[in-house]
Amino acid sequence: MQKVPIELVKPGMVLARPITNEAGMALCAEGTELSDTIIERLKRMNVSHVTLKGHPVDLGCETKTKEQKIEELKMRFSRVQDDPLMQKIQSAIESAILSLEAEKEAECATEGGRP
Amino acid sequence: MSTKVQHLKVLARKIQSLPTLPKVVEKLMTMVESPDVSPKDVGKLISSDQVLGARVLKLVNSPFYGFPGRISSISHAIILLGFNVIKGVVLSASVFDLMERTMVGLWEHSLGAAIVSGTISRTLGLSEPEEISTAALLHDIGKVLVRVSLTADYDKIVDVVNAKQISFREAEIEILGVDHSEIGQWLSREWNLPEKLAIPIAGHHDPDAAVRFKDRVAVVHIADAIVRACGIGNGGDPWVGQISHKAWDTIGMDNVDLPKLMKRIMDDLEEVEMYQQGPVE
Repeated sequence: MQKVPIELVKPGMVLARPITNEAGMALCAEGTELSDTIIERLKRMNVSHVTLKGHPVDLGCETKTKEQKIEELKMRFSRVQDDPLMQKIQSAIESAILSLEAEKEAECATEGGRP
Repeated sequence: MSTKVQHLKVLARKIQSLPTLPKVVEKLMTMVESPDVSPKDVGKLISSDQVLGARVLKLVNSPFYGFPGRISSISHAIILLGFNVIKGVVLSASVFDLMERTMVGLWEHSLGAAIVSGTISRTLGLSEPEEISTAALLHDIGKVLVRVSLTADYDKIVDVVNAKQISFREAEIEILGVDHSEIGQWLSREWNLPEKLAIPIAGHHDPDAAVRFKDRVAVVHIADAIVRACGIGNGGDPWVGQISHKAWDTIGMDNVDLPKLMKRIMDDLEEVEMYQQGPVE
């Protein structure tokens, strides 16, 4: 899943999340394959970003590595690291980060997206 | 008289006027107190302010209320979610309007806390998870008041956080003599918020002191720490605070598969980012 500015969206890309109007009602369902017409219409409705399946657009170094994420996690917990409950929570989040990263890698591999 | 009460009195005098709530919101606050008000009347009132109406619909259609993209009218939302939730949502829609531009980090922190509270409440099978989410959405409302009405003090607090590397709350106490939960408590009273929302707002940093609605206070307290732990939004400083062991035990968090819960929470928290992507600026 990747959030992408509308300018970079190309026909054939698939929505991972629905697009909603100002009242939160869905305009375009999850799973929709975007066409030129739909993209043009979204631009006219001032939709700025869409969330796509896989990782179809290379935005450069926009994502943090899992090592960076875990380093930041450690920093956030730095003031409570002596407490056993907080240690338990930290390690639960660490394992969640790792498992989400693994899913993302698998998703990229099967859809041929760039990591 | 305790010094805290004195501090609050000084602040109240300094805050010449509360951030002005739209007329509609004031009317609504008195209206929902009446025993024979109908969802239709309230829906009509909220919809009479088009911008507010749209914001309320956007919030109730957000994924953390469990009916994403399916609520088409405000009276429908009231029937599904109840008056307390609508009251909280209307308040946050108008209050957070003030901060969406200037305090995006706090808005994301608040949305995140609402999502985490909903996930925890549903996992534990607590009653009225929507109300608990709404209390979490409003838990830092005291910070908004300081930002909007005591701007000079707010800037000082930010400076102290940076200079001394202390938490935002410690800096508030140093500058104001009270923290945002006490300011939030005072504000809840001024705005006649229902106790189910007011008590968690007041108690989210001191859940052990809660006498009533202990479960709700505990959930909001824990959600506040977890949303920080996951690195979502900005609560004023980057550190995760100590979670009360008593609050953890009160709601039976030890019986939960923690790694599984955290994974679900991190999945759900992606919604915070997604929530911002609609055409409304």
